[in-house]
Amino acid sequence: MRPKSVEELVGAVQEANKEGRRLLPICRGSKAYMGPPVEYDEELQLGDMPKVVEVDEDEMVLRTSACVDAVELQEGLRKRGRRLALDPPLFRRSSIGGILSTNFYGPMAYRYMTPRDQLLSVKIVTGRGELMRFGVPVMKDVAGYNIKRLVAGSWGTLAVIVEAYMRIYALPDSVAVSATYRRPLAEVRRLRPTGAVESDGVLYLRFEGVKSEVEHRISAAGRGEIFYGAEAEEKWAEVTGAEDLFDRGEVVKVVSPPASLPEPPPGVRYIRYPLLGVMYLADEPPGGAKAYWLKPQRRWEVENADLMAKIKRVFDPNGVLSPGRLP
Amino acid sequence: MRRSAISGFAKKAREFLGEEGVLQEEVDLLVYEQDGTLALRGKADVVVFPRTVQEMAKVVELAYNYGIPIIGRGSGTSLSGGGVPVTGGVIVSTARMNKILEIDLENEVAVVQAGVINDWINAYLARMGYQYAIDLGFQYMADPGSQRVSTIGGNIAHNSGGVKCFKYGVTVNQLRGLTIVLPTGEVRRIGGKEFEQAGYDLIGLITGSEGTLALVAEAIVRIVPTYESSVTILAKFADLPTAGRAVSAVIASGAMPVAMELMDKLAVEAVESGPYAAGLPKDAEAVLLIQVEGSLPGAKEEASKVAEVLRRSGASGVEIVEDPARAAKIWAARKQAFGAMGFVGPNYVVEDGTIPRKKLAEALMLARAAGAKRGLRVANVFHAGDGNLHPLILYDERKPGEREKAIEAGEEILEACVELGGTITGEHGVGYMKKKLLPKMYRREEIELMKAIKAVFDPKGLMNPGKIFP
Repeated sequence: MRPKSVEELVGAVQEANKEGRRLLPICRGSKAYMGPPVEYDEELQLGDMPKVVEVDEDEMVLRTSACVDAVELQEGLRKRGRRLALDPPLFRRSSIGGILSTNFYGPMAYRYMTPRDQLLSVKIVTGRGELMRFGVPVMKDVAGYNIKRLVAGSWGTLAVIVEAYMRIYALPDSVAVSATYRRPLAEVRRLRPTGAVESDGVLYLRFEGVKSEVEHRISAAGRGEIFYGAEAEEKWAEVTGAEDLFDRGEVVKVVSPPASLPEPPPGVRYIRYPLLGVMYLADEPPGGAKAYWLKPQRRWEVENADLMAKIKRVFDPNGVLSPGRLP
Repeated sequence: MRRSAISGFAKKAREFLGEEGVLQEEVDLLVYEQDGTLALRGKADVVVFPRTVQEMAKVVELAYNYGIPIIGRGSGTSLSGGGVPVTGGVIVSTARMNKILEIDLENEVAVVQAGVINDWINAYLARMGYQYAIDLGFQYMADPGSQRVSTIGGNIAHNSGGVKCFKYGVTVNQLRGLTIVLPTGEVRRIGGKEFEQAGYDLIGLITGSEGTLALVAEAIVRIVPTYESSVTILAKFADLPTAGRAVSAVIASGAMPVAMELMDKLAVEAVESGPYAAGLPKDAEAVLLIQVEGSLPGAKEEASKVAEVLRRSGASGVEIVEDPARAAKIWAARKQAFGAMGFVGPNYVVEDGTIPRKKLAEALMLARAAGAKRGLRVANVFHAGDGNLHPLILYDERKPGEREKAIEAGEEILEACVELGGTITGEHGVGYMKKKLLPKMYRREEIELMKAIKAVFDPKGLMNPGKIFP
């Protein structure tokens, strides 16, 4: 199924409700076959939906349709001195809709939080086939329930995202990345990085801001290879994108309070966000922390699943959107 | 029938809360008739004071079984009528659930009971080099000894913002875990000390739901390390449109201020007439306060960059405040703005709309005009960095009809906010006062979806009834 307009999408979901057909919404598909398994009859390919990209560079707000490539958005914004402050795994293979739908975030979330936090407003087609809009493109809004936050990270089980308004940020004056040695969490924090990611025994620290701020932090960070500007961005994108890790047959996400984030088993490919207490691992997870399988697809253990199941029924009473995945 | 239910409830509640944990006397209930919303009253049948999650759960279950409305209440500072029992019922006060249970620096979180005062966390953290970033700056002039008064539970119920959210986000962005009590009395834990939880964002749903889904009993909040240095920049403007454009220019410059606050002439006059006077320029049409932070050299460079942008944008005066004592005084003055209104008018209605930041000047003019055509003055205090305006509509309740006019002017301002692409409430909630405006923002089906979610949690409709939904 490949709807070409919002009307066709609404029609397709309504039709699926009548016929009891189960759909898996997909933009670029970089994460469509990861995470908890889905029982579906048909893919709902959204790549032909009308493309909308509007940048309000004064207001620092981006309006975008779901299936726009994240890289394309980032490049367009860069030309205007703006950016999405997002660095999730597989960024270069993702659409913005896929990132929002899975709430995939990277190490910069320590400073900029997750896609869900940067989402201002969302236009959706619910599992019932109703076109709705929640939130407004302003920085603060508490009118009614925070439905947009429910949709972000719901892995396509509540609604199909059509369009989103997101926060964007100005490009910082200066960016530097230090590839340095691993060290204890308290020390990493004291260095005040914008984000920290560890990969194969190397700790990458990202610093950004006015020039003297970045210089000050870099000089405190000690021995390491330093990258600046475009080279820093390239290095950071490569490490955080973690494409080779995600190309493996086994990928599991480990989440724990930062101080008790387990060490990766020796010799195993991984990336780790020490400040956030998150690790992606190409192996069985170590005990003691919460673990969520991305590949191969396995069910997740989710707390308060009963409440979530009832919320799912409000959006999608007939279970036509990505059934089985969540809760 | 309600009467016998209430006395049955109160009798049983006393068995585990004690005599002092249950208020039923007329004179005691009087105190709970209002919250920070001066234009609304409502009488509770009984007020209860649980001390623990278990007691809160038990008393909620009891009320639920008797079919009595349940209204959560912290310090009662809501400005939308959120804490007023408009249909009667039992007020569950968190006043005795006021313990900071744990400060876990290793994991950068604090575990607190719902009744903990926002500022207590910061007072506790200051010597450890940490802070809780929701800096509401809320102070009652009526009770200067009480310092900041709002509770974490109330902040969560309204998803409060405050002055630092330009950089650090609002309350929902600070939460790692919640312990909530469902209307049936069932206790649920959502999340913990981890950065994320799998599945739907129940924390995001509960936050800002204004006590209409469940009661928050405890919270695990993110705390952030304070920077080595922070610098305040003070700018004045000869007219509001220039001030509005300067705000946009600062945001677009890539600077990342912690806070960016705008006060108009009348607001400055009020503050400068009181005990918190900080020497703010009274001759300006608008005063902009900005705080940046970082390393010593970093904060200094960022401050001069911001100052330069302000000068280029037409500020008639820009000062980088070097003296930390003076900076603290200036911020204290800003945080006193609501309370200080007493110096320029006997009563006020405070509104809370958000608009796109570039439309600040336009919104300000509309707010003034809405007051002026009713013969009322409007003072303006903004979280300019977020486009969140707080017009203070001054009136005199001794003059018949003035209060109604003030409320009407407020509604007109909020409708204008929606027309400018914004919202009817940025951080104070819909509560009772703005529920009739919700349809300005959402279509019937969208409101129905929200109500269906309410029914998931609260099928009997007992949680803070008469709020949010028209």
